[in-house]
Amino acid sequence: MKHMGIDNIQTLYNILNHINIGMTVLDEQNRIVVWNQFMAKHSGIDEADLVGKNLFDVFPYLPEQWLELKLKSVRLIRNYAFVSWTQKPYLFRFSHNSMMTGENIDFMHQDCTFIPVKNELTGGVYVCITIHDMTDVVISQMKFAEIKDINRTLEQMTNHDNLTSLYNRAYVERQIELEFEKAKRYGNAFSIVFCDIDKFKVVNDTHGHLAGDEVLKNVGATLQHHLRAADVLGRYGGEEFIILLPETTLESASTLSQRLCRNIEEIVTNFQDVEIKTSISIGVVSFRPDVQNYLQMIHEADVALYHSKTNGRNAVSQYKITGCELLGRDLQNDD
Amino acid sequence: MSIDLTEDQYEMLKEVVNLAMGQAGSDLASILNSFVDLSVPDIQIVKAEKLAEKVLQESVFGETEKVTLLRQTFYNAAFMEGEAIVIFNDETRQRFSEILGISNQMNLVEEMDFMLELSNLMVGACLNSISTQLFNKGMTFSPPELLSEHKELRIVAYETFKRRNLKWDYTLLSKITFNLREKSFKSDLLIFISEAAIKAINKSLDKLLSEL
Amino acid sequence: MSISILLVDDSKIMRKVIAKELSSIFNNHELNITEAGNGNEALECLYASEYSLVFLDLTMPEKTGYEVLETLQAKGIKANVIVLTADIQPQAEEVVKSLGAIGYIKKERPLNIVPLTKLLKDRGMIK
Repeated sequence: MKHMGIDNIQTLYNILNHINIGMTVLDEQNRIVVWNQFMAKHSGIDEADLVGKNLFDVFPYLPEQWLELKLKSVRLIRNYAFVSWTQKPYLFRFSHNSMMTGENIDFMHQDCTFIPVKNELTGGVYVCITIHDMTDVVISQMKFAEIKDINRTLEQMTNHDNLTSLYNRAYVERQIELEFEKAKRYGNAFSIVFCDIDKFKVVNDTHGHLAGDEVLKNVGATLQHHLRAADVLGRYGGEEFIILLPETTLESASTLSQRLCRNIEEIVTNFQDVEIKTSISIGVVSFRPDVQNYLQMIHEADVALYHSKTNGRNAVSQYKITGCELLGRDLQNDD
Repeated sequence: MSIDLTEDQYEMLKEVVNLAMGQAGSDLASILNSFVDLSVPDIQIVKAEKLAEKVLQESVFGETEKVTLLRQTFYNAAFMEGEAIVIFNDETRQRFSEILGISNQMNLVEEMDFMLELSNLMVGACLNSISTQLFNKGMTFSPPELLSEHKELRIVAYETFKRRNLKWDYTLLSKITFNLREKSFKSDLLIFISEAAIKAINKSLDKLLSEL
Repeated sequence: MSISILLVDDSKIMRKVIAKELSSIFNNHELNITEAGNGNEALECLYASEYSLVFLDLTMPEKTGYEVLETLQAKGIKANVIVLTADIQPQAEEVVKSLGAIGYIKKERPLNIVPLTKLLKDRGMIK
């Protein structure tokens, strides 16, 4: 360890003791070699009382057969092994110090990693087990899942996105799929326009999520305002919007997209006396007979959108087999 | 920046991955107590835009087959890093009990646990071998996690490899398929080596080539 | 007398490595080496001529080494095949031997020539 810059093994030991991660090391006979402070605090047993003792003797509640198998494979194949709280909530019965105790959480939820470590003296394999406290994650995930469930049910019932009242992703995708099948059969043109608000994260970070929500609503409404009745506009996810343009060629879709860029540039979202300006980047793709399915088409629109993003934003790019083409955004109004 | 490999480097890398696949196949065979059919690993540098299509093309599974994807990231001290994705189809999942020779059907938790275990085994064996051969160093792994399940491969592919989700322009993709001969078990292992890591690999390959 | 050898491996590099090791193992003999890049090419060679030794890889495109062995067995073609492979699963050796291979050697990095030398000694091909 000479290259570590820490020549004092005691220092290293102190670090190991103070990190907020549980760590224990077992020898070939499953005797405890290391038991850091995290483990001591949560188990209530000091390292001094444990070193040299067999893990299963001290903690008879551990699932010996199952754990023994895990340890064996770590030693034999010399590979990492993992136990996630999503599979097994906990290995050790540790108390947790989360305030939210009413959530049916009895013990600290844990992510455990088993790491094979060569024993330099015997040539055998030590197993180092690290324990991460996942309790807070579990609690927030539970709440999140609840909200998501409610939202999903609402969306499925209405085909609409709750925030913007536009169509939701599933609905637009279904319409695109239908249009795609139609085009495959009859060869009529149609286009997809994929939009993404530029630097939306900055809006959220500076003005807060409520301001971000207002921007989303405003952009959505503005886009809708400038589309034809037959066009299908939906919120695709986060700050993404997708538009299905039936009976529209790549050229017309591009002209429309350039106009949409300008429309968004011109609007201002007012939120608590703050005026927020924004812009969008766009990727456009049109039906080609060589495209396998509608998913590939959406993917190509996304590739074109990425091209706009990496070429200065607030711009429109067309997807072409030969490569994406960036269009100047100040095209003349030719209609 | 030149990210391409020379023909010799490709050949060398193919041998390295070949040995790694052998190791993983052997570990898999012992765990499943079956004979594993190995096929030639497919290795190429892929542009981010083309990744979804490439995966659909190369996968042993059909575009509309329902699949489960598990993901794991890895890195070593020689700046080789990337991520691995293991794919099982729903058909294979249903046969887990049969493959293991257990009489009663696995419950969902056991099934997931087994998949995580298998993918950890394949990813670990393969990448440890690659890392040892190229750099004489072991690999560090993140826990395997579920990316998606019971979805059509084409939907997952376009979702996972959406251009704007990818933080790099190129990746070195290795695809290995494991088939169990008697029982119908099929699995794809996809290894994505990051653009930055291709450089590190380049050097090691040249060193191995010079030792020939 | 020259010894005729067929090297079957989809990797050019592997063929080069094996050829190099062989020339040092058989240092008193003249070697006549033919190379094949997959199972089909290998079979064509084996139909056309006889070889003192065949080194056969297992995982190859088009036709695998297993399929080559199966074909030879089905057609009753005798050949001294030594399998040299990265397929190190426990049953692999048993399977290739049941298909008529005279030897099974694991590929390693770097290539370990001890088992190969022992095998050739046992068969009286070298001293």
